[in-house]
Amino acid sequence: MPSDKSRSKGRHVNTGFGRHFDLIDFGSAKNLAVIHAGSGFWALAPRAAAAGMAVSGKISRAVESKLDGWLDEMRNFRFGRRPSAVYLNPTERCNFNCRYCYLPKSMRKTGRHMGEKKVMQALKIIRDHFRAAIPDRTYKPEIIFHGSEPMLARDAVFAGIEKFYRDFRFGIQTNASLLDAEAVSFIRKHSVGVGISLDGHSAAVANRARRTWGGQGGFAKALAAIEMLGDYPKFNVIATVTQANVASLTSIVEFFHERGVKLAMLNPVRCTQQGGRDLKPDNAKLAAALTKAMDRSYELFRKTGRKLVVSNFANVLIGIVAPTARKLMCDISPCGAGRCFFAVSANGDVFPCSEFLGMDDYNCGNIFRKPLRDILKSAPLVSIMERKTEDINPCAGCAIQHFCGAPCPAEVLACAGKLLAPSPYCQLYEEHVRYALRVIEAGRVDAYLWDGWRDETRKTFSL
Amino acid sequence: MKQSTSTKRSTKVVSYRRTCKAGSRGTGLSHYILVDERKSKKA
Ligand code: SF4
Ligand code: SF4
Repeated sequence: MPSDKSRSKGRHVNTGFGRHFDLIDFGSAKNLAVIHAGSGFWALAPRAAAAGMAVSGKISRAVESKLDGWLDEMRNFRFGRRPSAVYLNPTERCNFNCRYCYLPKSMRKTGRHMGEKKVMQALKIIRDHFRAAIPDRTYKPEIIFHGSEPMLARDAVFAGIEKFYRDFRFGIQTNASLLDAEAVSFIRKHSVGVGISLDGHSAAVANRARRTWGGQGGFAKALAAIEMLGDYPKFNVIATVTQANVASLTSIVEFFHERGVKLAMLNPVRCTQQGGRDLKPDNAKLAAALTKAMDRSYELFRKTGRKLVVSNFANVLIGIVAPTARKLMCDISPCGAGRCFFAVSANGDVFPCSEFLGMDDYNCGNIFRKPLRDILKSAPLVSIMERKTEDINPCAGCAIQHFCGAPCPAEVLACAGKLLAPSPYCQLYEEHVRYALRVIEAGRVDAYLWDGWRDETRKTFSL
Repeated sequence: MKQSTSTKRSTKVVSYRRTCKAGSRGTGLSHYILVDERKSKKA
């Protein structure tokens, strides 16, 4: 560290130790965005005046005394959290063979079940770990039964929920093919969150990438599940966006909205496995299609008063207006893997995130054989917890790095052969953030975020 | 006079920031969203 005397006084914006502000054109005729990337500060200022306001005027003066606090807020949020959720895979097997699945094929076809006894044992180990690690007794950590297809191990899953529902909040991510009335009634009774996968508004689109091993599509079953669960507040739908449905996103939004779905994700397919890479939509097409779909969700809200929150976009938007209130941890670096949660495979091996399952180099140790507190300090896990945009070219110089996060380490590793590379969806994030800034400019933030987001947050600054 | 009016109009800046009341206790997941209890009770 230089001594204080040799340091510039930080008096000048954009040189020496001075603050650094970026200007970005976000597609507004009126304004440019002034951004302080490290703190996530943004301001929308008239085009002609924005540069002057940023370097020596209204904006830089107004925020000078705030920036250190916001930098701390970001630092605590990014590096000060401990895991409080686990993705638990009760089976390796799946009755579907989706073309883009991030899990290796052999594992899904012939893999093993964890079995009820082991599920119970894993939940007990996880509970005891969290009891020691999270001092707040009123806080319930989360367990998400995840895929492969957890409902293939339904008895073990339900037995685990029955026994541990006072200790955890539970969720199940399922392809919906095995959800019957009895399962739905159990889910409602135990207040279990449920996410189903459905990629289209018609069988033709939805079944293009999601099929059983025998080639049967999952559309009809997913539709039946939406009918059974439509009014259930802890229900959401995930559509994976690929070349097969990118042209249908607006219709998919209309379809979900009409069916009463309140929360949906339109997740671009991860490129972790070859199948995902083969189906990756073109970034420009994807950005244009998502923009249209988001516009449609806004129109539908205006027309009907009913909101379909597209939560992957909502997460980028909340990351801009209230950075610490984001719900998903893919759009911030380090991402949530290992830092906020970890994944446990059907044989008890721990990975930083489900996205890493099947990558032997990221096997962090077995939950039945090694104490979790040691596993959570293991080198592969730490390497993901330390991956940050500041170390990546071009992300380190990117104004929107803390609205994007350069996800996902697993897919970046698969695509670029190293962790420190930008997201394959870089261009999409550039457009998402610009769209979000236009939403903010138009004063429409409430139309895109979940009800209650204002109650969950408190205003700390306005200009 | 005319100029000062237009300058005034052209200096309007929009900027705000909010923080999560629950501090770092909020959920943080990956692709999957678990709707939290408070919200589901309200809904
Ligand atoms: S992936 Fe692209 S948009 Fe995201 S932080 Fe890196 S450079 Fe910026
Ligand atoms: S970015 Fe990838 S590894 Fe990180 S939490 Fe998201 S899916 Fe998991």
